[in-house]
Amino acid sequence: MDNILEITNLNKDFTDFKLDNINLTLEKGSIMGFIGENGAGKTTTIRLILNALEKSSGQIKVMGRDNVVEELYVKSQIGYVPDEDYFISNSTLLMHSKTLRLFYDNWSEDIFKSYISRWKIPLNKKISEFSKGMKTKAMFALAFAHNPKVLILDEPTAGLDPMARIELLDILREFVSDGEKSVFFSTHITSDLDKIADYITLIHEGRIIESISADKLEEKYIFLSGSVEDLKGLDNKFIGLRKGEIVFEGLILRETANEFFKAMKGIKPNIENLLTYSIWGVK
Amino acid sequence: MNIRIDYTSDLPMYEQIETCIKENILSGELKFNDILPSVRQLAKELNVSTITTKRAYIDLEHDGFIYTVSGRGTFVKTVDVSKLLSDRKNKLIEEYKDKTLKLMDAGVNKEAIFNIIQNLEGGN
Repeated sequence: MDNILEITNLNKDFTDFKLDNINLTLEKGSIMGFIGENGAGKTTTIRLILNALEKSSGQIKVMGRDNVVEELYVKSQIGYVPDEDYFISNSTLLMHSKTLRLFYDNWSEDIFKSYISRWKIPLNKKISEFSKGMKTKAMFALAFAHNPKVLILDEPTAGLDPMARIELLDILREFVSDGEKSVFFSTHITSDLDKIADYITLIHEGRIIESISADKLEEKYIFLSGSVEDLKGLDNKFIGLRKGEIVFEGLILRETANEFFKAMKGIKPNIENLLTYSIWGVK
Repeated sequence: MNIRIDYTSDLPMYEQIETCIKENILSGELKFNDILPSVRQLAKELNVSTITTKRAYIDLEHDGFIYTVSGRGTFVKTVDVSKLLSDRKNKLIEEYKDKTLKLMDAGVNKEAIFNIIQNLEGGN
């Protein structure tokens, strides 16, 4: 069993939206960034993995086990950090940890305490007095405490200041460093993913339009910019193109660039280029 | 070991890492049986994903520059530096051609370019 997460032909129909035949696999020891616009289906996918939403068809396996049939086992293996906190604001972190530990056989008070002291999070202060960053860190400490094999994060870095974000990225690296655990990371902050994501999966209007490793992304695509006249009307050779009166920028396959724009200098693309230009297309 | 990544280059990050390590072998900075940093350590320090450093090591191993002993680490192999030297020479020649063309575009004629070369000091 080398895949921590395996999604096969997953569909979910709503009246005004559908998640269309999602397939993805997340290897042991790796970090996957899950990107897409608001409303593309990221949170829906995550809620289906968590079995907080009933799928229409398809299969989701965590650690090789079906997430519906073996829900209890699967949930014990998942650490989840949502984009908005779930705390009862006039309670304390201590109370939350005492409650949550009842649900997990594999809860480790030592792990919980180690993060609490590392991040200096007060256990007896009212949650309502926590900053957004402190709440996020508290949710991470709770998620780590039951020794999950996979972390599922929905926009986890959004409320954090730059120092806390960088610190968190290091913690995620550390989490996967034994090669046995993985992270599935939905975010808009693609610069975080440039630093740590081994795989990028791009979802658009309910469909996955690219799922690629970070090295292949740089190998497969190039980001070109230049004068509009250098385009020579070959706009449709690009995956995504933005042009003004004078200059253009565009994402293109390297092999296409070598064929049609050999003289043009480009730069290796980052994840933001992949996200925005794949969605914009050639206008 | 000297590693410098150009984040604005057109070259993929893994390829830049490979080039840096080869340069280190060529310059003698890395010697036979020297141990390389682990892929995770190197990824963390360069602020890139682990799959990027892993890819660089896989390519270097495939090309015969390094070898891995599982559980112990990755080491530098005895390398035929003549191949590296000729690769580097070819790369420099390409850059040189590029610059020469730019000079000609700027209106410097061949004779003036020869003069520049003749008046250069150093090298053999």
